[in-house]
Amino acid sequence: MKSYVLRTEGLTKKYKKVDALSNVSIALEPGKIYGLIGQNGAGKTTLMRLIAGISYATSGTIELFGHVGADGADAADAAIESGAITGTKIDDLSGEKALMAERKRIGCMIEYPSIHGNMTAKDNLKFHRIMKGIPNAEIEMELLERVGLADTGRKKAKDFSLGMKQRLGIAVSLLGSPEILILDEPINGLDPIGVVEVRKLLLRLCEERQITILISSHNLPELYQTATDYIIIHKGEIKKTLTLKELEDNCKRHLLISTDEPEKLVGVLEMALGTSNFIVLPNKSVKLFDFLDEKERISRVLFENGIMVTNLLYEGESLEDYFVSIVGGEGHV
Amino acid sequence: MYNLIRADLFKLRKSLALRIILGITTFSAIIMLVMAYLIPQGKIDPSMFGIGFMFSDINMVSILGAVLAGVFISGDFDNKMIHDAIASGHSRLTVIISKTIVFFTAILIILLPYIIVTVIALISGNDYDMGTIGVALLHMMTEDTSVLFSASEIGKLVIIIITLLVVYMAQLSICVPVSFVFKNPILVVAGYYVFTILVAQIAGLSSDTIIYKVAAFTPYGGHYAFLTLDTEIGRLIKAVCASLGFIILMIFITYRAFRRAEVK
Repeated sequence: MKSYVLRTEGLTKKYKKVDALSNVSIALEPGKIYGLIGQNGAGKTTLMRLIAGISYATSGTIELFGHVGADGADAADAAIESGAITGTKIDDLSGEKALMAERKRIGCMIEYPSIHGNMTAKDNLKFHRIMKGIPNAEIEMELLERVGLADTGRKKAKDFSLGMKQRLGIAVSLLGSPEILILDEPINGLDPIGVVEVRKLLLRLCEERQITILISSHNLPELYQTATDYIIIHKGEIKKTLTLKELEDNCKRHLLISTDEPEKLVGVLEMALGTSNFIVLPNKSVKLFDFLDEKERISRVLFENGIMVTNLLYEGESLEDYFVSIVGGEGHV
Repeated sequence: MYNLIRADLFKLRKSLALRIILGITTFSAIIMLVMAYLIPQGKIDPSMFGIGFMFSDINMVSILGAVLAGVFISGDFDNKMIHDAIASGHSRLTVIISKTIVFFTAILIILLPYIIVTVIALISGNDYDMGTIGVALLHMMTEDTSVLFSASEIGKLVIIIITLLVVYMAQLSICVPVSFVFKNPILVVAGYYVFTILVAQIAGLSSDTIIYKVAAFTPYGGHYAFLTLDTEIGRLIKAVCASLGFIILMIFITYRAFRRAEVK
C-alpha cells in the first residue's frame, strides 16, 4: 500500500461565486518532486496557500502525514473552537489542531519570500530559526552556504537582487529539515547558473532526505528536468497527474500511423518489421517508436502488405505542447 | 507562542524604525522636561504650553504608538512574516497574542525616556509646570513636584507608572484589530490619531453624563490618564481592570476578524 505525506480530497475554494479551486484531489508520496503546472490564475498558488494554512478551503479536506483536517472553513472553525481539545501529543489532538501541528513539518515559499528587508540574510534566517524553535544556530551558515549566500555579510536583504531574495526564501523554507517543501515559482528571477544550482539542490534534497517537493513554475523545460511527477491544473481543476515516465511516453518522438485496418497494421508491424515498440491509441492510430529515420521503408512495407495508410507523420511533443493539449488546445492558453 | 515572541523581540532589536522612534521620544522627553522647567521660571513664555504639549508623552505615543502598530503588525503582512508564522504551524490566536505582547513591549521601550525624565523631575524637587494641558506622565510631573520621597512613596510612584503604562497599552490596543484587519500602516496611524482626538473630549465631560460613565469602563475614560501620587488605590485598580478588560476585548475582536480571514 502506498504511503502519502499529503493528500487532498475534493478541495474547493470559492471567492465570492468564482471557483478558484474545484474538487481538487491529489496525493503526494514521499521522496518525489511534483511539478505543479498551470497558467496564471489556474489555482496553483491557491492550492499551496490552502495546504500551508494561510487560506481556508470552502469544502474538502487536507491530510498531512495521516492527519485529516476539518472539511471546509466552518468545520475548521468549529474544531478549533471546540473545548474537546485537551491533549498535547499530535495523536490526541482533533483533526484541525493536528493538521496545524503537522504544518511544522512543512517548509514553504509561496508567492514571494518571507524576508525582512532591513535585516541581513543571516539575521533573517536567525529570526525564522527562533520562530520555528530550532536551537541549532550553526544551521544558519550551513543553509546560507547551501544556497550560495554565505558571503553576503552585512548587506541588507532589501539590497539583494530578486534572485538572491529567492535563494534566501528557499533557505528559510529549508529551516527545520522539512519533510514537505512547497515552492511557488522558486526560480523566478534566478540567473541561469542560479537555476541550475537550485535544481541540483532540490534533486539532492529529494534524494538524500526523501523530501517531498511540490514546485510550481512557468518554466516548463526546467520543471521537465527537475520533477519526477506532474500535476496539471487548469481553471481550478486538476486536468492530469502523471509520472515523468508517463510524460516521456506521451512526449516521445514517434511515427503516427493511421489506417482503416488497425488490426492488420499491427500484424504487419510485428511480422514484417519485427517490432513491438508501438502503442495503439484509443482512436486506433498507432504510435511507432522504432524506424524513426526510415519513414520511406515503413511506407513501402505497409503498401506492399496492402495497407491503405491515411496518415503517416512524425510527432513528438515538448512539455509545453503536451500541456497545451491537456488544457484543451491553444484556444485555452 | 514563546518562540514567536522571542523571534519578534529579535526583530525589534534589529529594527531601524524602533531606533528612530526611540530617538524621537528621547528628544521629545528632554524638550518636554526643559520646557516644563523653564516656564515656571519665566524663561519661556507660558503661551508656549501648546508647543510643550506637542512633545508630551500622550501626544507622541498617540502618533508613534500607532506607527509601531503599523510597522510591526501591518508591516508583517507585507513581508510575509505572519504568513510564515501560520504556515509554520502557529495558530492565528497565538500569532495575535504574541504580536500584541511584542507591540506592548515596543510601547514600553519608546516610553522609557518619558518615564526616566518624569522620575528625574520628581526626585529633583524642582518646580515643573505645563499649565492644565498635562496628561499622563506630564501630568504627574507637574502635579507631584516638590514631593519628598519616602520609601512607600517610591513604591507608589512605581505602581502609578506601571498603571499608566497599562492604560497607555490598553488605549493603543485598539490598533491591533485595525492593523490585522486593514493591514495598512497609514490607515492605522491616521485612524488612531483621529480617534484619540475624539476620545479626548471625554475628559472634558461631567462625571454625571452617561458617556463619561460608560467610558470609565474603558482606558479612555475615568480620568485614568490623570493619575498622581494622591490618586486612591481604588481608582488605580479600576484603571488596571478597565485597561486589561479592554485589551482582552481587543484581542477577542481581532481573533474573530482574523480567524477566517485570507492572509494576504
